[in-house]
Amino acid sequence: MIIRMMARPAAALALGAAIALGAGLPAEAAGLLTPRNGGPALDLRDQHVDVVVEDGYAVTTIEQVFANPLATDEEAIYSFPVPLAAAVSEFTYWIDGNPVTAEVLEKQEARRIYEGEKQAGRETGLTEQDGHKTFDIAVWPVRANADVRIRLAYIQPAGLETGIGRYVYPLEEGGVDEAKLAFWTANETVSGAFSFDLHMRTDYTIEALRLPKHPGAAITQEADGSWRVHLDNGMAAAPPAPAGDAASAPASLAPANAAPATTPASATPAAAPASTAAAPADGAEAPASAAAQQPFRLDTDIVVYWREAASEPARVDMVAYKPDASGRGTFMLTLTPGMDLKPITEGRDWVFVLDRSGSMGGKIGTLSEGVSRALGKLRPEDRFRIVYFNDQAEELTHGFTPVTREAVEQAVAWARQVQAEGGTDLYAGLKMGLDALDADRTGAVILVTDGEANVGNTETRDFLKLTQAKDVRLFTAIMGNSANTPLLQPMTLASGGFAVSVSNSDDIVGVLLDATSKVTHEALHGVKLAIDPAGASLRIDDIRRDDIRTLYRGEQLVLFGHYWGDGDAALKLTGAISGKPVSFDTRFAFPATATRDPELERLWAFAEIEQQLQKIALFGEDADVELSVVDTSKAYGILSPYTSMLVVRDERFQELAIGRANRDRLAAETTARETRAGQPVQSVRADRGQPMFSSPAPRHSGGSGGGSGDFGLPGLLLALLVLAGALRARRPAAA
Amino acid sequence: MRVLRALPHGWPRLPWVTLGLAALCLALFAGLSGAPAALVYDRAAILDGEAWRLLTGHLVHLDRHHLTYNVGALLALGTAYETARFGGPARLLLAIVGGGAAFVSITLLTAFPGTQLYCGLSAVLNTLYAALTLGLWRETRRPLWLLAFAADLGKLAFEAAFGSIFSAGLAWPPHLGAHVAGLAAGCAIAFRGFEFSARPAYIRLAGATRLWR
Repeated sequence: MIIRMMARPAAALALGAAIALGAGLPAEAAGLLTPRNGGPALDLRDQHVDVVVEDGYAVTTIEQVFANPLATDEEAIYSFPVPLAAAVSEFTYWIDGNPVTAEVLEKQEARRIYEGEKQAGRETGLTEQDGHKTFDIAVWPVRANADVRIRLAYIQPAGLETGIGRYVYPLEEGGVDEAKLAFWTANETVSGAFSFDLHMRTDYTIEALRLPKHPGAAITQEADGSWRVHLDNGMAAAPPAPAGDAASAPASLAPANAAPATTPASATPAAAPASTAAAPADGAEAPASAAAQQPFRLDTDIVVYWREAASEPARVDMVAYKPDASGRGTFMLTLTPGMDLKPITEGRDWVFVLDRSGSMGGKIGTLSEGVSRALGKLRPEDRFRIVYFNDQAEELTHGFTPVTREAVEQAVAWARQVQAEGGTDLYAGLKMGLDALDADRTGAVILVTDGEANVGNTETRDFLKLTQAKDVRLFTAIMGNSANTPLLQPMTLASGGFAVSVSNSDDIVGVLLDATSKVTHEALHGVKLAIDPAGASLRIDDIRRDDIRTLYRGEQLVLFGHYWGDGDAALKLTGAISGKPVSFDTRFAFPATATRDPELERLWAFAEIEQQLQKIALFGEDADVELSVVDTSKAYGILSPYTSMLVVRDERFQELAIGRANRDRLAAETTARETRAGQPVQSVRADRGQPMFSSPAPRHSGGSGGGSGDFGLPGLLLALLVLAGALRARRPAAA
Repeated sequence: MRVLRALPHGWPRLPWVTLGLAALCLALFAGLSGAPAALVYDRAAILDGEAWRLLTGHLVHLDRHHLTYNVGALLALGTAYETARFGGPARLLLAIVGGGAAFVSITLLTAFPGTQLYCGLSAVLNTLYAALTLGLWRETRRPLWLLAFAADLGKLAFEAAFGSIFSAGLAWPPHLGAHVAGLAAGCAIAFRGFEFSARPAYIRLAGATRLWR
């Protein structure tokens, strides 16, 4: 996240120097925005991020304080990248010390009310989604020499790929919105306290957690098997106010106009030691504070990986929410398949289609490193071509090149010299890559891009036609935040390929290992999933899932739906592996009532909205579809490109006749979350009685992938005991 | 240190090979930022002729956690083995590190074709652990050393059943097959090499060198 200070002379000089030296632009980040021609910026004083991963989804809550050191009231505008598949469910603004929760309104209406309240001098806040790029929060007013507190929460599915889970707290701005970057500057520094806490609760055994770009994070396992990650910048943190409990908010933060604007003196030393605290010793207590740096810069994504034990089975998990036995229930099914997918040994043709447009500036290093490693994985019987594109497409190789050491070394050298510049003619690049394929050999296209097409043909429909015209699988690495996932994901899935998101904070070797494991093994093609009630007492409808036609090694299938009544249902997954039909089935019960996970309703609604947005992307703007998105968004209280979250004073909600449905929904979710936190971790496995898969779920260990040697704390203790014994046994001889 | 100075053959007084290996692991980690792609065990690259990875893969580590425990165990076990009557610097360097690493790598190549990447010293530490504890048992005939050997077996069995104990943070999961291969190599070295134990160090060096011709 960014609060940009680029208007300041020192920062401008630094940028100028970087450009003069030929360096890439500094990584953009999330933060508080200030017009480039504007005056001094506000201060992002504190930020506390709390993540709970449980029951197959993650709830992220961000609480932050904006401070105004100026003598005039100011508007705070905060922008951060859209997290992957995130349903924003809460925007809360503390007014007169009381938390006021936002309601969802149609976008133009919300903006109109916000501007009206602002003109009238009344407190108001607005959260909008800028397409697939950013969430923008505007808060009025941040009183002179005072501060304001806001909270934002979002929910997203938390799945596994080949036994590895991944959570990303996106901070690095994708750099894809040139107009915005030209107009705004951002301060990407938290001057006061920053903390990031993640609590992982699952019934399945998690062997390890890891933050590749944040080695100073404290990682601990609790007695109940859950895991905690803690990261902070070593500054004293004001405890976040519990939801709905204004009285307990710290006095200095409560009234918007009461607290003096204080930028902590300790925030100034830019040369404070960088992350020095190592992850705690195995089994040791987490330190109270894992010092990272002061102040904290919001320019690096926080990526958390977790690895499930290889002994955990292939399975079907189900989480349901049905508060009323006679009403409608919502469920989320997650399939972690175990299938006998054999390695593919025949030679293949690979076409790498690589984006080197200006928006790839902060990611070009990751791209070249990934491509270098991918080339290193090719086998002697393979062939490859490399196509680059920005304003136009060009081939780096001269036709298909056999995989020899010299050819790979030369291509790697080229890849490492590539500079990001110009616009993005994605269509031309993709077309050149697809046209390059040899019809007589098995081939695949690896597309690496942020997908922000702005030159040449940019019509989504034409991209889909292009990929469907060729019988070739497209594998897409979606680079960075704010990438055009709404275009890249359906285009890739339509070709029968798969897309992976890649952050600069990712372990690129790990990402590559996983992708390699997928493309070098057989896959389940023609995927069909059917769920049918076994009796008349159960009805299932409104199924929503990604249009996955091919299921690759290690991939999960997630679907949402509604149900009425209760009782058994039969689940059947069919498809073909290397032309041979296969089928997997199981049977399990839908509960009459379930109150544990009310968040499922928002997740279903988000899946529904995603489906509607894909229709718009495919077939163009449609008033009916847009209305459907707005209705769903308002009914379930989640943000969409066509709706916004608005906060006004409590009495103004009444005067403007705005219902408080989201406040009530949020209260139910908060209660459920507190109840879950007090309960033991629960099993969500649905097919325990009749396992759907007989083969184990694929894992990197023992199968393809990487392995390591970790002697560990017990090994070290044994070694020390042996050393002590050996030296002791030698003493008589020494004497 | 008094015990080390009182060694009967008088050389070496400090476990120089152990200290050197530990320093090498630390330097590789600090200088090359963890496990560099050019040095890890990479099955495809090895089959393509990059044979140095058979050895260097065991000397590079993924992160500080990985490095700390492995180098800590190396310092403890290496010191004991290098200064033991049946051990010595040459045997540690050539038989344990060289032979153990080669055996583990060849096992990975032949028995685990699905393992594309591997790094870390722990498989070699299992070699060292087995050679040391079984060597001490052969030297002293005290059952305590068999118990110590069994403790490592128990640790491996536990990890096979329940995953790594207290392990947090490794990008690549521990490879049980490599650990078992390392332990087997250590057993072979302990029983094959006992007859050299009573010889002076320079003879042991020559003898150990001949082993690898």
